[in-house]
Amino acid sequence: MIKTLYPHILALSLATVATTSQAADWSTIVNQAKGQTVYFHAWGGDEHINDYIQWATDRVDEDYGVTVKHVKNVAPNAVNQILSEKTAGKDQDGAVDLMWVNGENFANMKANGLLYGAFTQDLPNYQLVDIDNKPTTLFDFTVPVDNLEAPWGMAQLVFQHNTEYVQQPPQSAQELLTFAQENPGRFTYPAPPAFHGTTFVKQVLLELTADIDILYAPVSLANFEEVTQPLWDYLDELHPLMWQKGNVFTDGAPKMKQLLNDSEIYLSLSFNPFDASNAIANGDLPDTVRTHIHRSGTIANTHFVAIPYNSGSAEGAMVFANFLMSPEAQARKANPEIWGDPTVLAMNKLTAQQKALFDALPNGAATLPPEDLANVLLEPHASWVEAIEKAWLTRYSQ
Amino acid sequence: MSVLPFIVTHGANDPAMATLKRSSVLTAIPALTTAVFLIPVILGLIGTWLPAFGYFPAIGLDQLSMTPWEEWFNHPSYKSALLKTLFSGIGASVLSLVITFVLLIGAYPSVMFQRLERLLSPILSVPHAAFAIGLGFLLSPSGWLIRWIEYMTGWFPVPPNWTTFQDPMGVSLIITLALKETPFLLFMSLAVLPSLNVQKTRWLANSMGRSTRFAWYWLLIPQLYQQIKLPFFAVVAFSLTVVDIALIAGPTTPPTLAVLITQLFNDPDLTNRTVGAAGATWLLILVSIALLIIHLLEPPLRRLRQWAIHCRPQTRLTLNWEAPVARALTLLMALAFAGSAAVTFIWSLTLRWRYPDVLPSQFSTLPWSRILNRIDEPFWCTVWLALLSALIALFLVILALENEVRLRWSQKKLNTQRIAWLIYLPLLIPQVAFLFGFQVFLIQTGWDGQFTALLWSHLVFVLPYVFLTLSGPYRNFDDRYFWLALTLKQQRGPAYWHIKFPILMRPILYAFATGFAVSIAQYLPTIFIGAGKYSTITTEAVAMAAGSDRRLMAVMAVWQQSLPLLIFALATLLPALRFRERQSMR
Amino acid sequence: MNSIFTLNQYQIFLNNQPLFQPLSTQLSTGELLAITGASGSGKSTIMADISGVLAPVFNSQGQIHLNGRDLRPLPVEQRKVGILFQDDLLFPHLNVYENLVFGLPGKWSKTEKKERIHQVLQQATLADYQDRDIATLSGGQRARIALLRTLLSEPDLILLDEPFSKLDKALREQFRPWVYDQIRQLNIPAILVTHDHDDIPKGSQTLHLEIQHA
Repeated sequence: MIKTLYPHILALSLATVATTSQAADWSTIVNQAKGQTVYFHAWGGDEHINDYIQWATDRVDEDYGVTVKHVKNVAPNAVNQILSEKTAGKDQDGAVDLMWVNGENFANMKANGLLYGAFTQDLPNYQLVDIDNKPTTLFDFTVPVDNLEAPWGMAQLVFQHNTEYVQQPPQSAQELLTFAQENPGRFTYPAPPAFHGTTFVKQVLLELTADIDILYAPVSLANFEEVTQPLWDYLDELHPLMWQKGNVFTDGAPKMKQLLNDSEIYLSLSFNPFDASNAIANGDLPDTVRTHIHRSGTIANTHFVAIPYNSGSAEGAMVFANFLMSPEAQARKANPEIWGDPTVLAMNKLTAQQKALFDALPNGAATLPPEDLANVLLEPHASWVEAIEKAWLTRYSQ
Repeated sequence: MSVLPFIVTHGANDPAMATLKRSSVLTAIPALTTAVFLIPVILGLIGTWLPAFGYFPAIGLDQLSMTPWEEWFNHPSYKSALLKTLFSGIGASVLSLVITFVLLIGAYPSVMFQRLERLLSPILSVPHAAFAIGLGFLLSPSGWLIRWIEYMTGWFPVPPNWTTFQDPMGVSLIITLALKETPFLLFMSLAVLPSLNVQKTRWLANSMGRSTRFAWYWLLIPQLYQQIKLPFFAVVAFSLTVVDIALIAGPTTPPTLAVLITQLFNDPDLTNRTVGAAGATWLLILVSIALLIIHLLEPPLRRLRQWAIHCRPQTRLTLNWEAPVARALTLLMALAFAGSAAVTFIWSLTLRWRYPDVLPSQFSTLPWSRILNRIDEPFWCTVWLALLSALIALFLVILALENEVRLRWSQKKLNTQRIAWLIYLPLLIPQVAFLFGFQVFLIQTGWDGQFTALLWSHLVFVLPYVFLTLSGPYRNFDDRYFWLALTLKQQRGPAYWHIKFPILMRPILYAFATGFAVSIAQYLPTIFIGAGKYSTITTEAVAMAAGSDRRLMAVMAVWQQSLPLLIFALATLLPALRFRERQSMR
Repeated sequence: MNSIFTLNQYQIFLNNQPLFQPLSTQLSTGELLAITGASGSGKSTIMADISGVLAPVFNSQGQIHLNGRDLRPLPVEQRKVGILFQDDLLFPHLNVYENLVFGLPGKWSKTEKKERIHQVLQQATLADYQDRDIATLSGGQRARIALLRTLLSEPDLILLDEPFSKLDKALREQFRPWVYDQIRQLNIPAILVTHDHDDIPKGSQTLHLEIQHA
């Protein structure tokens, strides 16, 4: 099912599970958490997500007496805040208690000691996480998570097409190029280092590289020029056929959605398989939009919540993180009418009652069936990200 | 207190000295006022320069090095971003200056110009980001303009694959900036125009056989430029360093330097903070160089003027192209602002609005009710911040200006130019160059995330604008009214409150409204200094702008526009109501 | 009251250069001193100095006494010196009544003030003008109200700084005797600065300032 390209990833994951501690600590944590105020820094650009977070904060207030304040702040700003605090020597009671994070931000925070420490092993609901079949819950951009961040949701690169203009959506990078030749100006992707842009470039690289294993080792081990040459040839050909002739790029997925809605482009991309159904439901996209992926599979990863090293309400943050992983919260989150973010939990670890919550979820017309989505590619080694971004900027942003 | 180098200066015999003793509290005010906005700037600059030279202990960098600079100048996007920044920044500044002059030459004084004057305050109160968002709604290939054309002609069943907004050269950025900066320069010009005796100068020039255009080009504009030089410098600095407008209307690959620096500050790779710091410092140097060059252009222009004055007078006395162009520009400007406001308002009431419909297929108040749920906290935070910062700024500025009056009567020369430079400093220094460092300082003193710290950071930007709007009318106040009041009432308090304050009430309220609007527009300071504990309507609006839901974005933009508009309306209405029976106070 | 205004060895300097020879003079109640001289001779500067608002580029020397008080150390508001400029400088945001009542001493009650203003307006044939907006008055009416306002504040000395120069000839002829009449009634000394010899009432002291050449 999952392309287990790197056997040692799984080996490592077993070692991590072994560190899980006893649940006795949990009641202490819950007691300490009572009355704490948790500043949860999370991107606030989507009102559905904001509404969902609002619901979750109300619930932990009722159930645990923990006040959670949603600070609508992107991860880099939160990292800046923590960094400034560390620069200033404020090692206690920092402004950030919990943050929505993954990928490079996590890797850098981990490398610079900005994280609280291993904590997810103490959270009861962490036992329900599907670490066996969802290796990205243990390896964030191939960086070992080491219990430093709690899995919150799953993401997978999917493409969206407007069936009003596109009957046969492209099934590969090559077909995408053909599509662009036939429909000049009707596709674009965000400029790296924007997350979705970098992911798209990585996706193309994965598709165009014959010996894919080289991408899962540090970039220094590969002949970067040689390996990426097909990618640049491809993009050189694609860009003049894109929206605004490739002279202008979007800054992220939200802008892409607007362009798709306005029919400026016919083909877009997203990191959430339920995104299209969700957007159709609330009028952000026309109901002619459908989701598709490439034959080779598409890049998938997990997003997390993490506690900074200087949080003054770490216990409260843990209680909230634990609640976010609960079957109740995860099932609600997976509902495309509410948010539509795939769960990190393993169905076979749930009670029948809990599982029923998930079975009852509507699927949405524009969403792919689970078996199609199961076609997953792992992220290349984290070191490739910077190298690719830099090379991209050198070629296309000067 | 300067001692006059004269024969007689008995301290006690000096009436100004006597006045001074009574108002010694005033003497502390300039220092306090200066401290309010200079301390954050200086601390912030130092806090940015250290990482720029590789000193950043938080991520284990504790040795000075030039690496950040090398990386900055070797950044793949640097060269092109530099060119785009210079092109768009200088282009927008010069364009807005030229438009300002053309409007004045072609329309001042006239009925149309009076109409334009009335438009100024609502236009000035529109927050930059909201205006840029609205302009995007209007001008993008699937925007309102193209939809209307499609509706009338049927030429564009699907949006054309054109580059009309966020073009790579930054033309749309230039237009957006020029549209927003021209009203500011016009406003600053209006404050000084009466002292230039436009009509008499024109008349005089005409009587000597010179054209009206000659009078403007070689007699009036040079004087006017000297008077609005600092505001123009602020426009140059702003255009070269703006982040939020450049994000919305600027080029993307690469963006302008200020956006690039912001991206570096936000990069997941933490060592890039130091590169960003180097870039921010470089941007400051760049702004200084640009301003220096503009300053050095003056002597050659002055020589040109001498040459022009020595030339033989032409006989044609009429203006040919300026008047119609001024009319067209005014119309264009009004259309841009009205159009962007209208389309934003319509989006805020939309459920479904697809291309190529010129109006939404489904209207709904849903976007408003969704926002209403969570607007409470940011709304009051915004209002309190704006009210308090505008009030404190007004208080400090009035005291500083009163102190100026006192100095004018006790010193031979009062260097208002130096004061103006000081006041303008926060407007000439790029925000990205000092906010990061200021944040570190606040955290070090345990002051971060406090409302008072946030208020302070807003004051840094509110104070200069309040000073700018109020200083002109305040300095133009005929002191003899006040002396007369003193000789009549024999008490200072009543003389001030019953005479000087009410006569100046209109500019004072206007300055308050300006401060209020400036506070509302602040984004970066709230994000950096508020530590995420305070959200304002503007931070919410920018958060929405990062999302895909135009309807909610529009609702926030409408909120953002309506607050300052309301205050400006009050600032205009209150004196009008109070002095409705006083002709000369209108 | 044997009101006496004294200038003793009085001189004004600009950049160390005296503007005129030292002058000494005395005024009793009801007396008027007229100062004439070319532009730049320092006429208005003397007025500014006496009222307490000498511009800092100037410096002055010599005694200024009013009713036995040394005026030099006193700020404007304590000198009890009334002034009338060539511009009427009526407060534009106040109506006629408010302009007049502003200068009335606080010792009077509200009704007394009303009465007093009513009375002076009647004398000045402006009885119905109490609630009028200043901007709607004619130049002559404004000039009269400006003088009344100064007189109502009961100064010990009144300075007239070219008070007639902005009025047309007919109005000036009419206004001039009325002004002197009013001042005489108050029985205070007055100083008049003027270009026009017709302005100077008969029997006044006259002082002509010559420009000093360095």
